[in-house]
Amino acid sequence: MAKKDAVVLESGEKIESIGPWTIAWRKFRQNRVAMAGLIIFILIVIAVIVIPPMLGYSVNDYDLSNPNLAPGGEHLLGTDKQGRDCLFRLFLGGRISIMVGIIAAVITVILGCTIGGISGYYGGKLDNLLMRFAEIVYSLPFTPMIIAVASTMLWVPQSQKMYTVSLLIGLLSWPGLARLVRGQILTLREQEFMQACEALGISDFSKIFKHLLPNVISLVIVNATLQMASAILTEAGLSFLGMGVTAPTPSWGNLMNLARDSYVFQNYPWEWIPAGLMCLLTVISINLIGEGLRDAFDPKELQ
Amino acid sequence: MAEKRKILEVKNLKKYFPLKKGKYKEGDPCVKAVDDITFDLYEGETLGLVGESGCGKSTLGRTIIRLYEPTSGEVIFEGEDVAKKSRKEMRALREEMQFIFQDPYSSLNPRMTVFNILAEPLIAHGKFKRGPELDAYVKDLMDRCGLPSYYCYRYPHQFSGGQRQRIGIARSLALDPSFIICDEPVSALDVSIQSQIINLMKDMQEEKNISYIFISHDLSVVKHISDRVGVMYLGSMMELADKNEIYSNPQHPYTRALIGAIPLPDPTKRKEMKVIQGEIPSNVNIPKGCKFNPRCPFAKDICREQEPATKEVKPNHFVKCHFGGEF
Repeated sequence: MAKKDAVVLESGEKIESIGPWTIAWRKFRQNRVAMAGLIIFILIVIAVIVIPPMLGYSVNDYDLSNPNLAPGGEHLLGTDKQGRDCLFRLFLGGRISIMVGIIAAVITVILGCTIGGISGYYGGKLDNLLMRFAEIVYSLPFTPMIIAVASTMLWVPQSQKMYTVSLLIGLLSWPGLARLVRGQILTLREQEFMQACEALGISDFSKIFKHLLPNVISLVIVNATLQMASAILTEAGLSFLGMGVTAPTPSWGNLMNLARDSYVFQNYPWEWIPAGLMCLLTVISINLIGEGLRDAFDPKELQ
Repeated sequence: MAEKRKILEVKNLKKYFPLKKGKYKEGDPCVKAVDDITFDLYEGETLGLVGESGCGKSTLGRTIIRLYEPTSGEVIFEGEDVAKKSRKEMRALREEMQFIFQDPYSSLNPRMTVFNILAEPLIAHGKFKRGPELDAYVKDLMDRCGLPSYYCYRYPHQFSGGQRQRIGIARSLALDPSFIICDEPVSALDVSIQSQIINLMKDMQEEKNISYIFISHDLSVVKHISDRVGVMYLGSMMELADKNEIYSNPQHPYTRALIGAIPLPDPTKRKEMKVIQGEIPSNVNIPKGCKFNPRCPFAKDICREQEPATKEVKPNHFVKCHFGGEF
């Protein structure tokens, strides 16, 4: 029987079925700040997908005869030192930055859920082992570690840099999520509905995928959203230092890097201010979405 | 009683929870939640289990259907020892023995619709595949349990406590079991709802000839539903007898105290309450001799030295007391 939202009786009375997702969505919709965040983020995503092909440039479209043009005219946001269109580079860089955020969040979620899930569900020695390992990863100093590893990976071709950066961020960020998932599963395991599953003779597979995961997923979604925002920031920081995505591929981080040249900083603000603003806007909007989701999924109000 | 068929025999069942981590070894300090319990259950009867909080009633129930692994002893269900079954064999046996949980809130998965909650065990045991037959069966089951079937797409949080407990009962009945353990199924509910739920359980019993083990701390409820009543104290069965026998002629001082403490609605009939003194001792340091001796008003020297054996003071009336039959 397919899921239905409502059954209408012969008398015309409507029996609504309000699931946890419906409740969460209703609460999220009522949260104006979170909705604003969602709309801004959707607009940014559409922009970074649509605008670069519309402009029709490519990464290597140098025009050395027109360097450092001021905004206006043919180039809406002006050009940089090599005469490349700043608008094009801004949105292409956005694509890269957001992709890094998404890939890093996905890696974090996969590792965090698997490790935390196994740890919480099976417990015992395995749990002990995995959690000690998580603690080791957790205690590595994040930024120095990433800089150190990134700088030993200079042999990676420049076009693949964004993937190595995502991978690094993902590999270092999973322990927090793993702990959360483990804790949640430990709590759920003691709930009577899990014992009811055992009493009803339900397989381990169904127990994990039908009973445990749906009850953990909201936590994971919130965490993944916030993780994505922080990955975007980390990438920006790394690229700013030249350890992340490197030229000619743009990213918001390495566009901001242009400001390190004090002449550019003072005279060509269109080359770096938009990247900083976009990065700020994206991270804020994602964080607002995350906070909104956290409130929307609050289990206390499910009753 | 004698002509009735035994459906379940519990023999010397023990469940100890070690205080230390790791495997239990003889003599380790442990919580003796179920300590050497023996009884039989007949087809179609209800055995009430009463006792204070922490006396091991729920642990006994859970050990019988192997939600907990027994430390030792046998649970013979339909001639087969449940305690020796492998996980796979156990899964098949789950069709026959079911459990109703105490808390109607935490016993239902908040993210599944009623339909899915009820259909899941049916699909898991291969009784039905998704389709119109399953729909019809689930709807019929809901109707039988007093839940309008048009509620089937609702989620647990959209129901009241009593309705949730009906869902729990419907779930335990879905596989058509012959034996159900009810772990305080009504203690979380309002008194007015309690009677509805108990009547529902009685109706189901008559319809399907199900045997119940009904765990409760409420003696009035147990009196209403049970055929026989067992009284537990610190993991031991202190007295076990026919309902009328145990309420009219209690032979264990503990049972007498419990029955004396039942509140009566009629103030003119209010007896002098014989409240038991003291707290229930810890299950780790069980008193020497009779477990009840520190709180027993009749305790003699022998009670402090020697643990009493279970005596059959009348046919089918068992008492674990040195002076059983003398009260």
